Amino acid sequence: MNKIKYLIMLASMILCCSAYANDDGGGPAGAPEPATIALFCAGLAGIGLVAWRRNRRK
Amino acid sequence: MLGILALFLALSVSTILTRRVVANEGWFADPAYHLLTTGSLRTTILESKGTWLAGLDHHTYWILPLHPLAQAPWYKLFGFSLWSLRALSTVWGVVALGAWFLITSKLFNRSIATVATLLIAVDYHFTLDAALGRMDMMCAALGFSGLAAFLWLRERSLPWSLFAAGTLVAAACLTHPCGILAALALAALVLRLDRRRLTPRTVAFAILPFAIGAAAYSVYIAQAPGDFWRQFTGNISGIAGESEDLKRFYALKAPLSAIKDEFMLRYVSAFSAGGDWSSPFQLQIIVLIAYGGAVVSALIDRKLRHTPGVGILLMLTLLTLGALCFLDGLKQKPYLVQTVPYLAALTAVWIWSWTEGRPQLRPWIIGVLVLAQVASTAAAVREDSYRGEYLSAADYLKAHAAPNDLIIGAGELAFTLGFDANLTDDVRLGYFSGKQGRFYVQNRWYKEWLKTSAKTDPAVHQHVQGLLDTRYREVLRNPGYTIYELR
Repeated sequence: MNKIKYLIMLASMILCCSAYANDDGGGPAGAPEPATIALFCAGLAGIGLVAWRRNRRK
Repeated sequence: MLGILALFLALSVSTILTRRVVANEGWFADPAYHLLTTGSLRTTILESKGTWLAGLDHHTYWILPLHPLAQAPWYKLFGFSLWSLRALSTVWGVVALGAWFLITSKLFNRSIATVATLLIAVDYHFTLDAALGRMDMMCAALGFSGLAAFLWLRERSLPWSLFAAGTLVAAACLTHPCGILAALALAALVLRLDRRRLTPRTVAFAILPFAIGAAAYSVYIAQAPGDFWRQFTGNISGIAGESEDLKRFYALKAPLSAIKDEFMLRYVSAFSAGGDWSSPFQLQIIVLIAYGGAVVSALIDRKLRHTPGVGILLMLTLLTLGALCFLDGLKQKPYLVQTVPYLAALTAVWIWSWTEGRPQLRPWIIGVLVLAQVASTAAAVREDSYRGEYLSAADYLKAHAAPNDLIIGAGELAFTLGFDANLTDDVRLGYFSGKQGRFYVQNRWYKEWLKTSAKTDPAVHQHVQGLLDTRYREVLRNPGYTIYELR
């Protein structure tokens, strides 16, 4: 839990860059940009692959 | 648990104090304000003449009644203000967290329950809803409490567990239509765990609270059934639908588009910073990858799926994700509070399962997720859109408008100008009512609406744009508002 506390403290220190808050009261957000979609799909594919390999090992 | 609660309250309260005010908050506080001051559940700031909202100045039917009914005694205790409206959502957030601790400690164990509760408590979208003066958090908290009540009471007495769960879920359904998600989840849970024990008598215990709630609401509907039908059906695509190309139930006609839009608009877009890779908010994508990864892993990894409790949680998660996808074509972000706790809880179990034998990894993985979430909230707090946008516009109006001047602008301004003041929320700028304000205040939504109306309602578009071009002049502009004054 100490490590978590440390990371939370770190969070407040890295907030020196620009801020963008996606916090409108309602309505959908705009369409996401391609690099974000690609990162999301790659992340899911990676996790899926690891899950599949774990499944085969058993 | 106290530490988690303190962290949640710190994130929520700092968001309450710095988040921009949205029109929804003015619209949904208005009927409660009138209930408190005049004893009648009516809404006066929205211009309803000529629209599906007609009759709103006598009866508020376009939203379900429980949120304003809960607000009225709350204001009696703590006073009427934006802060008190938002704090009510925070209290419901605490209830939702308690419900999830109970659900996950029943399905798994205390350690996983603690991590699940932590991940929910710091979730950016959960925190936002806990600081927003809408009914979403109240609806979600009642629904989750219903599931928790059923899980904890079913072994002692099935009929009474169904009655308790039914009461809470019926209350969720009378708070917001998203309560239907909790009703579906409860039905699935009962069928999965206790279908063999069900008898007509036990089912009656579950249905009774819904019948009582429907009967009580019918008494109010009976006062003006025509207004009820017009307002309630009008709000199916609602005010939000007027400024979007999307319609509430389009998913039933185009399911593949709905699934794609659900991924892109509800999740990927809401969990990223619109391509600004220097923003801390972009870290949200890590959280979404973890949430999505937990679902994918639970589907693929047999060992994880067969862990006691995971099958039930996965079923509830997929059911809620699917139902929201097909029932809400508007892809509203505040509804994320209905799905995010399931995803966060599944993520907690997934982390626990994949780090079995390597428990030293757990704090680091959990820490990265907490960091990404806290960074997003801190970025929004630092932006302080309340002062930068809302307050500067509202203060300008307070300083320059005489007491009798009519101001046409979005409902959130009522928190500063007063709910009995000369403020009318009329995006059509008097097209039906003939009213013309000395000031016309455009927020983001007014701008979007005007843009969309060029296609959807050209006559109104021409009227508003024509007046702005010929009769009004711009007197203030900030990132959230443009104020026009009659020449």
